[in-house]
Amino acid sequence: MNQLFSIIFTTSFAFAVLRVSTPIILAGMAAVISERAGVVNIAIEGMMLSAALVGVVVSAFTGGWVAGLFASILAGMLISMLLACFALNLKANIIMCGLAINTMAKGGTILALYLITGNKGASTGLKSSSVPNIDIPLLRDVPIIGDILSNHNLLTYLAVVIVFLLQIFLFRSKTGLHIRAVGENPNAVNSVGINVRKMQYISLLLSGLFSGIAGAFMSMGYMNGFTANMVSGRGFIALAANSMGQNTPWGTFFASLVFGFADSLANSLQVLKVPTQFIQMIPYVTTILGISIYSISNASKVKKMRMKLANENVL
Amino acid sequence: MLKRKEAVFMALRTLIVVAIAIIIVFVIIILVSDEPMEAIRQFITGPLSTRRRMGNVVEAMIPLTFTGLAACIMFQAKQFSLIGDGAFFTGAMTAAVFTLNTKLPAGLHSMAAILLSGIAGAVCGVLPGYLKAKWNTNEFVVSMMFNSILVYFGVFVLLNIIRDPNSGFLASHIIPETAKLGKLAEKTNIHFGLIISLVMTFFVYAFLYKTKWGFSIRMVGINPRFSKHSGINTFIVVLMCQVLGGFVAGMGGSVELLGMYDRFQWQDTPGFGFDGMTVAILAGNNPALVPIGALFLAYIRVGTDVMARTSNVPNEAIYIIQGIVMILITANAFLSNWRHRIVVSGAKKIEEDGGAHESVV
Amino acid sequence: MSDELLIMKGITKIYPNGIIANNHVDFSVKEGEIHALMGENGAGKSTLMNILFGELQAEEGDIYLKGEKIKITSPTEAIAYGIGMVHQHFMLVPSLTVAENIFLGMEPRKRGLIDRRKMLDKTKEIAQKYNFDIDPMSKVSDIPVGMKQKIEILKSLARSARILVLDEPTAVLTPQETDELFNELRLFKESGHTIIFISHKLKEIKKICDRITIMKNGVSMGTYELQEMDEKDISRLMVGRDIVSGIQKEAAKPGKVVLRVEELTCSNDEGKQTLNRMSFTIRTGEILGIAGVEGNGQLELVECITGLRDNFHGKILIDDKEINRISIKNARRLGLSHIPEDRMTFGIASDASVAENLISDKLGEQRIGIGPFLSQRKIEDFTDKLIKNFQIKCSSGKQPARMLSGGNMQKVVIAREFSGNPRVMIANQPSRGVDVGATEFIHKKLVQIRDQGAAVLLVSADLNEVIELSDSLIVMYGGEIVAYFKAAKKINEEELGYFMLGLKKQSQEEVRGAIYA
Repeated sequence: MNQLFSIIFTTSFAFAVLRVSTPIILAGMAAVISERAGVVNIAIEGMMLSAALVGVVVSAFTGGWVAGLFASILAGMLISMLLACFALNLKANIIMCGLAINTMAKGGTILALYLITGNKGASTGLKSSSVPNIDIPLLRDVPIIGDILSNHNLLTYLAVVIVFLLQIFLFRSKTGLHIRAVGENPNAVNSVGINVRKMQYISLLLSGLFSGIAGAFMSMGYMNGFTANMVSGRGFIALAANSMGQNTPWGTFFASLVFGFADSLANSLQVLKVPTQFIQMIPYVTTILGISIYSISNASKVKKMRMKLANENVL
Repeated sequence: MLKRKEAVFMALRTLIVVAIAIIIVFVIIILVSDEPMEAIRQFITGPLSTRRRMGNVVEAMIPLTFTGLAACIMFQAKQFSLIGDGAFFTGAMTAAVFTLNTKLPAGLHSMAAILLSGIAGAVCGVLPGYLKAKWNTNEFVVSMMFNSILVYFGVFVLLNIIRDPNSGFLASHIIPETAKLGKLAEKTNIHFGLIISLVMTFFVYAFLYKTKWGFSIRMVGINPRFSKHSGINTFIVVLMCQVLGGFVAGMGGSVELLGMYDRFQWQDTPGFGFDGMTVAILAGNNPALVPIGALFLAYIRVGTDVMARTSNVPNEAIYIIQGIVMILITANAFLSNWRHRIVVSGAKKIEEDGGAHESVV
Repeated sequence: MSDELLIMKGITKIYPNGIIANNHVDFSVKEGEIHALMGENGAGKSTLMNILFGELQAEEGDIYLKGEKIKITSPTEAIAYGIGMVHQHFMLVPSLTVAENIFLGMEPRKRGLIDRRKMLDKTKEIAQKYNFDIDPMSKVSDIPVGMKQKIEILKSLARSARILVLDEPTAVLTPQETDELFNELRLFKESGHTIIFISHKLKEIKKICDRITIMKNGVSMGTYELQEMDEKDISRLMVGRDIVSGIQKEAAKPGKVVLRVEELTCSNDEGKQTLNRMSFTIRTGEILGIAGVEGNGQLELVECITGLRDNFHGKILIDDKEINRISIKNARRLGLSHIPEDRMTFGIASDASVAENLISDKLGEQRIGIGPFLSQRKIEDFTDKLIKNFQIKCSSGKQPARMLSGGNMQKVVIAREFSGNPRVMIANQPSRGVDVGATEFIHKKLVQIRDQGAAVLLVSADLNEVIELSDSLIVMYGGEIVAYFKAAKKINEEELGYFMLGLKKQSQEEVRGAIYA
């Protein structure tokens, strides 16, 4: 136990949590914006995976992470447009579409990787770049906080900025208001002449954008290079984070941190004598617990309030 | 009359969708391969080229039938759960543990194992099913996460409980002969599981369309609040459809293990659960058509395998076909203009014949 | 023809399921008039207006505004032409405020973000201009129904609509609120607005409208001056015969108490108390009507009794057996049947076949199978008989329910609920959205099971229906019983309106008359 505590209560652990949470935060924002528009984006996973590969490949061939990052974002957005086209225009079942895209991404990335490098497992042959870490000048000298918050990857800081901006966008801007309205009552929106489809497209585009950044972080920040199936369900964990975060950017941010914590814990626990498989289960168990607790509290909150008010009114 | 036209339309549409998917892959092949025509030829005719390969198709069809049936049950209730995959894996693992630790006469040994695996699979379905039924927790995410947990657990069991230390590769002890499923055709690996899968097809079909429980499942999928109003216990339905789906998938896992393998050696899910969903979609969620969908998917699986072996096109191309098929089939608006025209002209015809405009036959 | 402001010519619309909703319909309105558009459900009036508002596209036909041919392909274009639509089912976003809803799509902006202050001021301005009393900051989910309709109207006015289309506007209003609305409509008329008034309430149309267009089976039966028509003429055109407005029934012979409701108290999901110690009984062979404006607890009452809601205090008993927490299946076994208010959500599974809809509550019964199994033959026999007895217009039991008209769908609901041998029948708005012919049939059937000994609870916002059909009557206001009338036929409609609005209230003793031993 002591050993466990000595692992957790360190600045390096907190630093790791932030680092590990980054892709989930970004993917979480992708989930928030699409859920708000009433569009379930199951394909975040596939978008991240594809973006991860695209970023690596482009950065290898252009020699720069900037091009790689842009390519990742573009990849995410293109796929989200594909999803939008099929699910919204052609009225395909959106969950199936999402699953289909994930399936195609799984095979497609390995196929592409093989075609480009002759290797099916990882992009080791490619000289890809990474997005740099940023050592913030004054912050880094602050005791404790400095160690936790400084020297993160650029994309980690970008993730927090995105959370902040998305909150303002959703709740103070005209388009954000329309997107929220579309998610709640598309008929109402349609009847005042706002193009529901357009709002859904915009939100999916943003969703793809955030997924793209998340994918770029995986292969050009968290790791250096692309490995097959490297996203490992983070796109789905993001959906769970969004549920727990009640479809709000800041809520989802904190929920993502919870999962990042679980993930980091799993990594750190390797030193203990617990069989690895059970440790590897931790993030997944946390996810299930997380959304279960959320749904339970939702259901019982309503029930408790009903019973309480029913009681009050009797007396 | 119109109904028959609609049915023909749906069948045609499925064929067109499949054709489009395959054509797209052909294009990829042409771009990728040095000898595209040869690769395509291997893809299309490869599975029929040797007796062994034809056998491969049927062998591959068996697990897909089980997971396809499982997906049908869950999809009919509009529950988008992926637990079939984890249940399949767990079923196989359960069969391994059971058969390695018990002694029973041949026939009985395998049947008992299959039954037990079904139960294990059913238990897998309880968590996502209950959470959904009681608190409306997203079954997609829960089942997906739980699948990972099940796989890790299975690997743990493999490493620590049933591992054969003498084996050259990571695997369990050899499964006793009494538990294995007999072969049906010479020079192939087609095993008795084929019969079991077809029997299960019959049972699942009868269950869904000829029993009150199946009726309840279908009604909940069509309109859950209507079902509640009619007195159907929607809680039980939502829970049970994942439990039953898990049962069938679990059976499938053990059948696959006992029919095709000497040892349990999976370190990750073989992914039949996901493919089962594709099969269910192809079959329009109709259990009777699942074997056909499974056969088709198996065929193109083997086709891409043959192609991968004989040309430089990797077999991951299969996933692209699957994905495209999934999307296009559920795209209701796909070719809907065509369908609208059929319906409109049909309605107009009835008008001219002087029929009542209310009852469009 | 030259003073016709809006002309729709030769409009034809066919739905994807084959139903011809509009069949070469001609329709026109003059500037500054209040024009009624009337017809049974399924006649095509909503479809026609949806085409006008750009929500649907017609297969054939043209629209002319002030003599010029125009094309309306979306609500935006309709709004740009000055056409505003107030839908029957409100088009409001619940979590947004009144101001946000009114200015949805035209939000004032400052530095890229919404200018909340300005939006508030503009809302107050327009509310004052048309004499509406609203709170711009409240969330739409919190305001009452009558207020929601005002917001809907303001939405159109804020967009400078000159032609207002009102779709069944009085469906959810009290008699007094209806009068208020009519006054507002007269004001609009004076300021040059044109109003298209969709309804199937004859009395109201006669009160407020200038001309009337009648539709039947997707076809226009002509446009007439209302002064030259009387109610019988209109109904003849709508249905082809005189509507029998009085319901033939013998006097009730009530027996033992079957349904007993004791001190029923309930709060809704938002915490508002919706039922306050309601107590009443229904006896065999009796139809008890509940009159009241929607939103006074009727829905919650029905939900509590029928098992769709479980958060209440009090007791509900059938034949002295408490049914508070039992399952709906068991309640049905005790003889409870329910015609739900929301047909499409609760009453019908539209993608299932007619036969499946008819047997959904009878699973496990011998009439449709043996044990857990369903017998195709037995089901066919059973459902064919029902289709015949209830005159359900469909091609066969196998036809998907969504292809039926509203009235026939309701007949399917009735057929299912009546064939469950009910001891207690809860009929909630049984003839809403149903054509006159089917309504008559439904009323006859309700009287029939009453005579066979069932206890019927009739909840209806249609005053005529509830007065004519009920033997005794309760008025609900604010979740309470404010009046009990032993003989429904003797009620004065205006007095009833006062009770419904909470302006009058009977004494405790009088109200207790609703409870029999």
